[in-house]
Parts: sequence; structure tokens; C-alpha cells
Amino acid sequence: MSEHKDSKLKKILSNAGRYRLFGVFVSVLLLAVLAAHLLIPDKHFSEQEKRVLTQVPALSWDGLKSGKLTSQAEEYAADQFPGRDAAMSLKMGISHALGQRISHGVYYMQDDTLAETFPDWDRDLETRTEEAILAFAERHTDVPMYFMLAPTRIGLYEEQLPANAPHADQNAYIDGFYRMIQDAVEPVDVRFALQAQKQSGKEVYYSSDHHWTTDASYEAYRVLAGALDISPADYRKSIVNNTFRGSLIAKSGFVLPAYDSIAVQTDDPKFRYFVRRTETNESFSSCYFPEKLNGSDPYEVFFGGNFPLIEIETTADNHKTLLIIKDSYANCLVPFLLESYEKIVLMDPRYYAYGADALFLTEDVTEVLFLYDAATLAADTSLWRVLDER
Amino acid sequence: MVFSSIIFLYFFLPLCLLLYFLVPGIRAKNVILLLFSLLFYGWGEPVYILLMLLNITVNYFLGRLMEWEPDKKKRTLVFAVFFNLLVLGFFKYYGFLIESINGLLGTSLPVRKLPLPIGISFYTFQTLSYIIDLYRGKFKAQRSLIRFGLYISMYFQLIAGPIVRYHDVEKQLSQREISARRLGKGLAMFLFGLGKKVLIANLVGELFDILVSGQTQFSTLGAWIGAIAYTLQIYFDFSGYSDMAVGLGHAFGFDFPENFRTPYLSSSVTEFWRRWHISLGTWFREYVYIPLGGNRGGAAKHIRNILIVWALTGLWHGANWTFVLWGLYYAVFLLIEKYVVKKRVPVLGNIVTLLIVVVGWVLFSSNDLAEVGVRLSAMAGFGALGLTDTAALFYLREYAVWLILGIVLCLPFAARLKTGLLWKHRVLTGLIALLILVISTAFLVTQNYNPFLYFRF
Repeated sequence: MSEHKDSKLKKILSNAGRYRLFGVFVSVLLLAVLAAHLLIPDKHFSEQEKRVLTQVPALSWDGLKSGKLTSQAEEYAADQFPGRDAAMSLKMGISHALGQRISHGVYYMQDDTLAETFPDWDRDLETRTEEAILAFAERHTDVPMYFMLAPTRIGLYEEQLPANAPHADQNAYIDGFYRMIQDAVEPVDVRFALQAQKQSGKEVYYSSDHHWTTDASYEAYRVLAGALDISPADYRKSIVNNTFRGSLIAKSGFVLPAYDSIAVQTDDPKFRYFVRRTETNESFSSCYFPEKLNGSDPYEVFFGGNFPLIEIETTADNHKTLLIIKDSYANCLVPFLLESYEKIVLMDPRYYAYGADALFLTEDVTEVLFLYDAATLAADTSLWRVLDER
Repeated sequence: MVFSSIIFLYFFLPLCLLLYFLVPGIRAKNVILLLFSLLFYGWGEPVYILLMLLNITVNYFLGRLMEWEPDKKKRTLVFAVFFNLLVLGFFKYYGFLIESINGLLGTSLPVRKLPLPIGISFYTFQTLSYIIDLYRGKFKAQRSLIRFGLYISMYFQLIAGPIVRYHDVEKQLSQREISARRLGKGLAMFLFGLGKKVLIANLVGELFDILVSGQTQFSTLGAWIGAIAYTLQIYFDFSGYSDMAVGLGHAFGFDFPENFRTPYLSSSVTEFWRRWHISLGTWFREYVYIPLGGNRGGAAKHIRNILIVWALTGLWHGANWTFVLWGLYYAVFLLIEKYVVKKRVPVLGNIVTLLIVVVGWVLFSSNDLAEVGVRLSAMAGFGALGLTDTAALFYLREYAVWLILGIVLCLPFAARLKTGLLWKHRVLTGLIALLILVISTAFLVTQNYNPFLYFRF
């Protein structure tokens, strides 16, 4: 009996037997993955990639004829692959260990942080934006205007880039931009302040996200306060999230050794204000949305994200109205400004469908602040549209 | 559909395996394979299933016709060759022909670009081998439409070869060994091919795209890395695909001819073409070169025949003058080796051959002659960006591991390793193959970049 078993085992482990075993094993493995794919419910959204995943394609004759059905089926198979997240981590782990330092336009910096690349920018687009700003300022000479163009990580931490990493000179871009607009709009150059913060060893940017930290935006705010001639508020820092994994992780797939934390400027309980999204006419009594901290983009804790137009009315009672034309870098800085203005209007040209001039008919704008990060502005095609629209 | 995709590996292949091994009898297994082959073929362009069915039916009956009316055999042959080349010409060369006429005569005839039916260059050549060999009386016409359809459309080698001649698989269509042992060995071969494609070809392909595609200026370093990356990409892409085809064929009971034998180790251009895409070389030799007279009939005729064969070989690779030029480029070196430099010097010969091949791939991978000039002069040291540029240095380091892996796997020991692994150390083979499957899956799940180079042929 046992002899018989032995010979059976020997047969399995013989050379021919090993192939037999391998053939059956691989076939069963492939079928098991297929079964798992069919049995595990499909996911709608990928937390790791921050995107909606492809669902079972709908059968249709048109879809079949145009080839859409089959290409969608291929995407579906890859998107809903059982263990997709683990597979992606494995891929990035191997690639990074074998020397990969750029992924989807994101550099893995020498100090274990992620930085979006800054590609050579479109000079025609730059000129178009500058001319639109100059013409806009020309039409509103009675309203003082300021421009804060914040550097991104690649501009401030150039020395941490991997050797020979191709990128354009962001500081040259900022310098050139300020030079072109400075006759009509006052530049608010925050680079020295951020440099000082970097020197003191504080985080200027999230290591995993393309935004600056609230600490950094406070330093920028202090520079701004000087330009706007307001007395700067104190920084009442409170940390609201210790496990932040930002957009650059999702974009690149790189894995970082540490988490980021998000800080906010705590509301002063004695000071009241209202935040209104004009598009939907929703009102809120705070500019913070703590429920967003558990969502796919915790940075949306500031104002709940980006909206075309947000109006903030405060009890400051000084008849000053500040129009801020901005991208998301402004979202964590604006809370510092609340106590200095009776009204602040936040306009995000990427979502705003009308002209900026029209706002001057309904609002008594006393100052205008442009607040952008250099990477967004260099590729932005919405600002000049909003300014040119009349 | 391509082999290196999640949908093939984890939907198509397991279902095909399951049904193939479940149904009893060779006839039913053939039907399963034919159905899966048609599904595979129609995946990208469903309407072309009709083209495939038309192609199968017409050639099936033309083959039978040769036997029904033996005295009109020649007329049937001429018609069959004409029909198959017409279909190929219409889908692949029509636009090129019109554009060339427009360019030559200054006319502006409208050009309609149709999507190229996948694998048309490959299966047309398979069909022609059947028809011509049938005419030559090498075998009897296939009586079963299912078996004939399976020979033409078998999905293993449908897209990118090897080009299997009918008499190589005639017997296996009706009688073949289907066993777990063959399944295991075939799947191991398939997985090694998958690794070549996903873990080397795709990655050095990314490097080529970054450094060459869409660039107009090059440094010497950048142009060389680009050329080397492409040299590796096309070999690992194409031979990886062939390995996958041969492996799958083996798993399902077929024996296909070997298509690549470490071509980059050749010590002459003549040798290179005996080791690169062997089934294509064999085809042209058997059905064009020898019928034209080969090397009989004096030097002038021989030179003429070589030039014709290589212009056609070039044109087969793509409907563009750069491909024709690429073919003639090889004709020149083959003739030099035949008539001028007859001596083979081992190491020097290897280096010169490799250089000729790399320059050949520059011709092959450029969109037009201007690009060829810019890239070659940069390689010769006259690049617009000087000797090096930061992007080339950066991406050289970024992809260094994959480049080195590719180069190492072109060396002689890799070939010995492969056969040694497959025949002797089967446990190790199995473990490596599984590892390749897991890592390739991880790369495929993430990879949005996944085109097969040989799709346009």
C-alpha cells in the first residue's frame, strides 16, 4: 500500500509529472482568479487611485460595432481585477526599488517627498494671461490689485530632485510673470518667507500632496498682510488629520514612508461669518468641512473643495470687500483673512462661467487679490477667459 | 485582443482551457478552438469576423476545386493568389498606393484609410502557403471546413506568427497529443514569453517613446540609447509574442516552428536573417525567391532576385517607403557578403553585424527619411543637443535595470539557460514562470501602455 503511494508520489515528482502538476496548477489558478473576479462584488470607486472604476459594460449592438464594448470590457477586467490595489503596490514597489523616480509626471524626491514636475511652459499662454490681467487692471484703476504666485515644491526644493531630472526653471517663470504685470498689479512675492520656513526645518508642502501646508500659507499670509496693510491675525493652529495621503500618491502610485498631517486656523468663537456658495445658494457657518477629512480628498476640509463662486460675509463691519481670483492654494490661506474684511468673494476661474467684470456691478470690490500656485497658472487657460469676458 | 492583457490572461484563456479540456473528442475540441479564435479575431473590429469567414470559405473551396478539376489547377492557383493578394493589398496597401501616386503625379485622389484587420499579413501568407503547396501536390486538400478554418484563424499565431505552413500542422489538425504534460510545458513557455513582452519590451519601449517619439532634436547619447532601446524592444516584443504563440500551441497539442534563435549573436547579416523571424524568411525563400530562380542563372539574375525579395520583405513590414528602404538596405549587405566580403571574422563580424542591425532599426522605427537623417547624424556625433543631454542621462538611469536585463538576456548563456530550464530543472522553471505571471500581472493591471509593435503588420 505505502509502496504504491511512494511510486505515485515519485511519478508526480518525476520530470514529466512536474509539468503535469504545473499545467494543472496554473490552469486552476487562472480559473480561480476568474471565479474570484465574478464572485467578488465590483467596486465603484478606488480609494487608492481616487477615481471611478469601469463597470460591467452594457451590451449593445452599437457598442459592439464601434468596438467600444470590447475596449470597455478590457478596462473593466483590469479595473475590477481581484487584488488590484495590492497588484499596483507590488508594481510600484518593484519599480521604485529598481530605480524608478518619476511616475505620471511626479518625481520621487531625494528627501522622500513627492513633487509634481514643472514642464517648460507655453509662452503664448503666458503672454495671453499677462495681457488679460493688465487690461483688467486698466479697466479698474480705482481698485488696487495684488498677485501672489506661490512656488510649488519643485521650485523651492530644486536641490532635492533626482540627478538630471528634466524640469523648467520655475523661479524664472515667477520672476518673468511678476515683471510683466508689476506696473498695474502689485506682486506679493512669498518666496523669501517660504525659503525661511524651509531653512527653519518646517514643512512647506505636504510630502504626498501638491498643496502647501497651512503653516506655509500662514507665512505667506504675513507677507500679504504687509502688502494689504492689515494687521496679521495670530496663528491658532490645530491639527485635524494625522493620516493624510495626498493627491500625488494617487497620481503617481509611489509609496511614502510617512503620513502627512493637516492643520487649520481655528475659528475664533467670538467672531461670526457666513459662507455662501452662490451657485447652489447653500450657506454655512464655517469655512471648514470636517466630514471631508474622511473622504477621497481630505484637503477639501477647506471650504469643501473648489466652487465657482463663494461669498463670505463677516461681522468685521469695515466696508472692505476683497475679491480673490484663485486656485486651490488659496483655500487654506483665506481663513486667516476673515477678520480683516467685511466681505470676501472667492472666484475660481476654472469653474466660473461668467466674466470677472460683471462682479464689479453687484459687489463693491475694494481690493483684488490673485492667488495661484505657479504650476497651475503656467498651464491655466481659464484665467484669461474670465478676465476677457465682458 | 492581445496576450499581454488582463482580459486574455484571466478571462479568455482560462475559459478556453476549461472548455477545451472538458469537451470530448478532437472534433469538438477543434470547434471550441475555432470559436475562440473567431472571438479573439473579432475582438477589436467585430465586422472583420465576416472578412475572416469569407477568407476561410473562399480558400477552402478553391482548395477543393483544385482536386475536383485537376486540369484547371493552374487557373485556380492564379485566381487564388490574385484573390488573397488583392484582399491584403486593399486593406494594407491601398492608402499607401494612392498616396504614392498622388506624390508622383501631383494628383489628389482621395485616400480612404480603413483599420487594418489584425494579423492579415500573417494569415494571408499562411493561406498562400496552403494554396501553393496544394498546387505543388505536397498534400491533399483539407476536407473539413472546421479544420481548415482552424488552420487559418488559430488564435495562438494569428496576430504575430510564426507563419505556420500547412504541411507543418496538417496531421495535428486531426490527430494530436493533448495531455497535462504538454499543457504544463506549453504554459511555462507561454509565461516566459509573457515576461519578455511585459517586463522588458514594454519598459524599454517606454524609454524609446520618451527619448525618440515626438522628439526633433537629439544628443549623441540620447540617439544611441533610443536606438538600443528600440533594438531590445522589437526583439523582446516580437520573440516574446512568438514564444507565447509556440507555448500556447504546445499546450493545446500543436508544434509550431521556432521563430527566433538569439539573432543578435549573429556574426554576419546572412546569419542574422536565418535567426530572426525564421518563419518569414522561410516563406519568402520557398514561395518567392526559389520560384524566381534563386541563385541559379548567373549573378545578374541572382542580384535581381535578392532585390525583389527584400523590397517585398520590407513592404510586408509596413506600407511605407521607409520599410522598402529598410528591406533594400539588407539586400545590399546580403549581396556584399555574397560577392565581396566572403570571409567571416568571429568577433569583428558580430560587432559589425550588430551595428548594421541597430542602424537598420533606426530606419525601421523612423517615420520618414528626414527623421532617419537627424537620428543617424546625432548617433555619429553631430546631434543638435551635443554629446549628452540631461533628459537622456536621467532616463538612462531610470530604465537602466531593464536595459541591462534585456541586454543580458540576449547573451548566449540566456539561450542555454532557457533550453536548460525547460528540459532539466522543471521545479525551478515552474517557480520562475509563476513569479513572472505574478509580476507581469501586477505590471499589466497598472499599465496603460500596452501596444503590440507587430499589430500594424
